[in-house]
Amino acid sequence: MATTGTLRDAVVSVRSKNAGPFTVTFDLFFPDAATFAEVCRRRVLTPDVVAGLYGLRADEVRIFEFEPALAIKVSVPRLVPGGAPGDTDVAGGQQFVPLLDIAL
Amino acid sequence: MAGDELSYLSIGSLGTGFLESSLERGLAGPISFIGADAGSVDGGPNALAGVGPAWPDASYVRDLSLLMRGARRVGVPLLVGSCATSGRDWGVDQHAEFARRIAREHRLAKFTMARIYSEIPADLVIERLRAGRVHPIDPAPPYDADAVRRSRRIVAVMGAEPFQAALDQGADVVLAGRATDTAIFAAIPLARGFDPGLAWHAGKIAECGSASAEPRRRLDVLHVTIGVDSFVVQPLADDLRCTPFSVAAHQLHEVADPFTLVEPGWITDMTAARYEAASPNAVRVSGSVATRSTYTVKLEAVESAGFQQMFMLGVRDPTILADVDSWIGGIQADIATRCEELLGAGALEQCQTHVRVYGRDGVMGAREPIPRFEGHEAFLVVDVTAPDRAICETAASVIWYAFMHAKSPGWRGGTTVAWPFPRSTFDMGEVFRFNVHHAMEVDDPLETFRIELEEVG
Repeated sequence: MATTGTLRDAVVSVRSKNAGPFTVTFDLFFPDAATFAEVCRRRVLTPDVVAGLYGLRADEVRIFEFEPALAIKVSVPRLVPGGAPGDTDVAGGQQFVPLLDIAL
Repeated sequence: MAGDELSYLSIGSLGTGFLESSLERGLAGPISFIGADAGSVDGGPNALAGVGPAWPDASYVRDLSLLMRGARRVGVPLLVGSCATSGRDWGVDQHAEFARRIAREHRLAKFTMARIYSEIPADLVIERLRAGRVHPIDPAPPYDADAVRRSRRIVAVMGAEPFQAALDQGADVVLAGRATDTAIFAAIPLARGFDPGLAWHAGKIAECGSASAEPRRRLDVLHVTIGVDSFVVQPLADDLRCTPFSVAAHQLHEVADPFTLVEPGWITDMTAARYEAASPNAVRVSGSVATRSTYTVKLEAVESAGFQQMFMLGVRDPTILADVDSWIGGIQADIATRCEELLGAGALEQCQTHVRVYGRDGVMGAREPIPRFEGHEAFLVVDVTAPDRAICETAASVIWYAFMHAKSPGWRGGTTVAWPFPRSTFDMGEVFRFNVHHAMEVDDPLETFRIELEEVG
């Protein structure tokens, strides 16, 4: 696996989507079991790290290691409910990008 | 107790299409029902507010016609959930009218159609709030009786029981209001005594049809077989295949927590689920465990956020781009003065204005980690929202005019920005927001739903 650099170098696929009108969820997929295990072992993604990137409290961030799909899921509250005035991304499709710069 | 196996088809999403050849392939084998989800809150609050469903009539009629004719031909029930995107009563009636027309045009033999309505009155929710029987689903907005009264429309999201009740009353075609995606597919397996963990987990995997297959190019028909201790999913188009990875990945789709599926009256723990190849394009899933829970229905509701006008403009002038914020700030006084002339004191303060600077933070807003502007041109989308339609229109016109002629800092006399269409502001109409993310206890799984039966054909 890529052991230096950022998550951008380690993931093969990223999905970003609403999970209901109040949550946006990010799925980061890794290429193989070894990479997935190593990213989990190093605790690359933690509530504190994600909270810092998105301006949230750590207790607002939920992270799940999902081995069957070699994926880590990150769920955070939306800035405003989906489609409300002031929303910039109604389906939540483009909100994952800051995660890519997290250092491995 | 059930037989050893039960099979069904899921078409993905009503109105987005599927291959007729895939449906025919599915109808050629033994199946017990066809299910179709038609709902989503991804498009925002407008569908529930009443602005209109996600797709035009022709998209729904094409899919519904193929499904109705196929289901009637082989004699199995057709279950449609969340009619017309939001599942509001109007959507059930709209789809019912489509169904009657299809039955007439294709001279379908007489059958029974059920309409299940899911709108609920504010008074019921207020009563349950006061009784402490409405519970937030984190993250949830503040919710009280005033919020309930502000709601333009409230739907309860049904579980498996309303579908089961409609089928028990003889329905061949069920057109349901707002339903959980999974309940459409779990209702019949649960009623026939299949393992609830398998029934719910299979419903979750099947909800979007071939979204659990790869490649994820389009939605198509998924074939599901539930057995005694596992279920098997398989796409029906030649160029799609389910793999353990693609099926597990769908477990993550549009959910905050991939291990716990909360449904009306049931919680399914998917922590121990296993995904194994059953053939080159089919996957066997086992291991999820469902347990009974307090019976609740999720609420969905929208309230008005006022009226909105929008305009767009392009900037290429490097002297503006050098400091966009100062340029925008420079027109505030002109806007305030002109709005007071036209609307009186205090009117502008009723307006909420968002300026999105594409090229900087138009996509991520306050969450953009790169706050500086990059590039040689910018696109601005400005929206003005106010409780009063007339104030909104006038203020938006003033703000538009101020932007058009905002003085650029680099040139004597300034420049005029570029607007891409020959009109100033665009009327967005009344705009809305979702205002609840709560689950409400009910006395009976059918309490908040109304089932109407009719003979069609």
